[in-house]
Amino acid sequence: MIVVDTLAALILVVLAWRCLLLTDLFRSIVLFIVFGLLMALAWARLDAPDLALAEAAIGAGLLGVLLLGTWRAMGSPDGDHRQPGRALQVIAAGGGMVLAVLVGIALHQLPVSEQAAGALALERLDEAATQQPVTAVLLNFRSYDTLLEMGVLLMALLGTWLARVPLMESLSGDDASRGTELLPVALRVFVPVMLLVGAYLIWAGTHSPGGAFQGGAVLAAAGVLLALAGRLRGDTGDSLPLRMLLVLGLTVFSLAGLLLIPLQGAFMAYPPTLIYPVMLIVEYSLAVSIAITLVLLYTGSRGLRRGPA
Amino acid sequence: MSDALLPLSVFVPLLAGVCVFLSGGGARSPVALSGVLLSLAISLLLVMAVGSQGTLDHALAGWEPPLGIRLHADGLAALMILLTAVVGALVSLHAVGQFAGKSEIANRFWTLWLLLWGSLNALFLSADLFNVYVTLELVTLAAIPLVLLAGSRQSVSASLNYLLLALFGSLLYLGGVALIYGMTGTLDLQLIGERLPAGGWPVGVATALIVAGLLVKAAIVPFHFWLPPAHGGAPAPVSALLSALVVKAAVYLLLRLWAGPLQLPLSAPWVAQLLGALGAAAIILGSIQAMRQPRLKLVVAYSTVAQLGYILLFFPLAVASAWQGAVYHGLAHGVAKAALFLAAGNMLYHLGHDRVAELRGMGRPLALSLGAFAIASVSIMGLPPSGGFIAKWLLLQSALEQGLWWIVATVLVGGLLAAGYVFRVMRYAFMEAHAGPSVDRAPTPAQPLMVWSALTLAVLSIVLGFTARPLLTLLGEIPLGGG
Repeated sequence: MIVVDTLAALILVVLAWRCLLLTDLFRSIVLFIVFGLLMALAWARLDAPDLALAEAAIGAGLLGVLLLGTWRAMGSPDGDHRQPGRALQVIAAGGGMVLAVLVGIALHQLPVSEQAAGALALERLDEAATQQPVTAVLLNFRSYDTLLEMGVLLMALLGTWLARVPLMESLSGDDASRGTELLPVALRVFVPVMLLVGAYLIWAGTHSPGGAFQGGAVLAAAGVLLALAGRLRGDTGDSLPLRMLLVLGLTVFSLAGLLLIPLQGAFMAYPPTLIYPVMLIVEYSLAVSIAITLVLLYTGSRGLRRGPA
Repeated sequence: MSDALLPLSVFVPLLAGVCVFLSGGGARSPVALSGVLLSLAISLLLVMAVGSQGTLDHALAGWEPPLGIRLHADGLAALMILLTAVVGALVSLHAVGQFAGKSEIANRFWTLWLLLWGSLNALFLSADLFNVYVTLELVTLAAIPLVLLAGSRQSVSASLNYLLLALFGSLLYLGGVALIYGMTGTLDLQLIGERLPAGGWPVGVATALIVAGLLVKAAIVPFHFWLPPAHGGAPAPVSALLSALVVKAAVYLLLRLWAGPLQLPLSAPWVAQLLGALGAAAIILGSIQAMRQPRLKLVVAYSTVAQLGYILLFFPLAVASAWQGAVYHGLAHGVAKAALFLAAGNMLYHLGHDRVAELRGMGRPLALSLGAFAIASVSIMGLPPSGGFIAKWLLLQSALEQGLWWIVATVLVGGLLAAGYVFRVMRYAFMEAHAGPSVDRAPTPAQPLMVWSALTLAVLSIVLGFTARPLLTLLGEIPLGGG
């Protein structure tokens, strides 16, 4: 296996290098997607299936789609894509290398702690009411971090809405898509499967790799496919139901934490009998918000409506 | 149960922001205004609880560290929460006038500002190194869309630069956090302090990464270049929030880490001297740049670059009076800078431009806003009686005691340079002009709320000159070694 691992590590470095140096924007985006997929394999090799799923779904999949969408909207990007000056390149490359060496030496000499919180978390999984360590950390031990990250997602969406207004003048792309013969067939086959897989992944998060982020990303991918086919269109106005779905995760998660304070005396501490149901409800609400946010990031619009079938 | 105030002071503003987003109200939205009032109330309750009961802790989700995340409210955090609440409430009043009639922009402002308020409180209360990273991201990602509210192409490129640099800063910080977790097996600030090895290469690299990341976010020279376009180009209430509170958050973290887990590596003489030297460079360079700016809001933005430097002067001094001086400078600058930005915003609102050389004849139509600008400048220059004077006096005193003459010289020269850029503005503004000031469009007088909120903040910056005793009592001693 060592040969495969070394090869994979080498290809990753070469891909990253090429991705940075290419002058052709389209080709660097494609390389970036390949990089993401290979990275997902690397995570899988490192026994981190949750990270692998997230990397494949979000890092390679949705981010790639977003980049390609931006590339298309830019019209003729090749003329615009300026390389930074030589001096800046040297500084960035030199700085990057110095940093890598410094961190490399630090990692080599690192006195690894015997009493890691991670090991403690593994010992106490039973009390967290799940056998899946990643879920236990994300939704129980350090649920506060996850909750705050939902705020990040909401604000990122607001930011893209606001940035879109002044940029609209120079954007040529709209979300009207050019379908192919295959698309309707692909839709009929893939979309139901993706919805099923997404919903399964969210539920699976309670006991095996998966969870709200991965499941939400798969659901979002189904939405993106529908948008590509023109079945789902961006809409200029945002409706109240849509806004409610956008903040569903944040609201349910924080209200569950606040309303149960009197029972256990701490924010986000749930009584043992309630942990599992609360976790499941939270997972699904988070996933819905994540999926809708990601689809809206792709369409770049404030709302969604049905397109012609 | 008073420790429940800690999560509440994060989630009351955060959920208020969500409610505003759902309700879709405009500048005078009752949802937004009651959200501001509730957030103000919960913040003040928390500050009073810390004042009467001392430090408060809350283990989130019922898990004690190292498993869970701890919220921690001490005097330092309480003062920052108080600053956020007072400045935030007054800036909110200004925003009611500024965004009147623009209901969509107003709705985005209220949503983002209330989310930012919750995020800032979360950052000040966090006692967990990784959670601090999350809150830093929250604060940054709330601040960047706020810059975009200006709605111009320039604001897009300014905020993109801000985003890229902020992400770079976050990555550096996160690298440091990973190294520290590897060494100590915990993310809790107090436990890290107990377990971190006393020295060695890995500790040094981790500290350097964390400090460099925070310096980028705090816009300390030489990482300052993103700040003036972002702060100078945003709508006035946003500029005030960014300069008074958001950059302060990163500097606050430097103080918090010094007083906690990273005290040993940050106290190494050359590290402390380096941080102090960066502070001094920021004061001198920022002030000189401020003097050369053609636009008023850019003068005020470069002044922020300069004023942040004073807080870094704490590191080479590292005694109790310098600690008080640095924190008090954070408060005084926050209040005075918010007043300056709001006053400058009123002039821009009235005239349609803020070109310094064309401000002549402003004394008459904009007397109150100009007055607010002048009063707040007293604190920025560090003249008595003002909050800025107290802060600089405490810093000077500890520099004199330790014979650090270069710090004494920096503080004095910094005050003179500040006078330079302030009086340059005054000189033009108070000049008589028979035709009145030059305007780009028909003048639109600022609404009373906009004028009075600026004036109140300006007066507060003077009042801070008399309230040092209770505030410094709340701050308390340097929390040595704790988290």
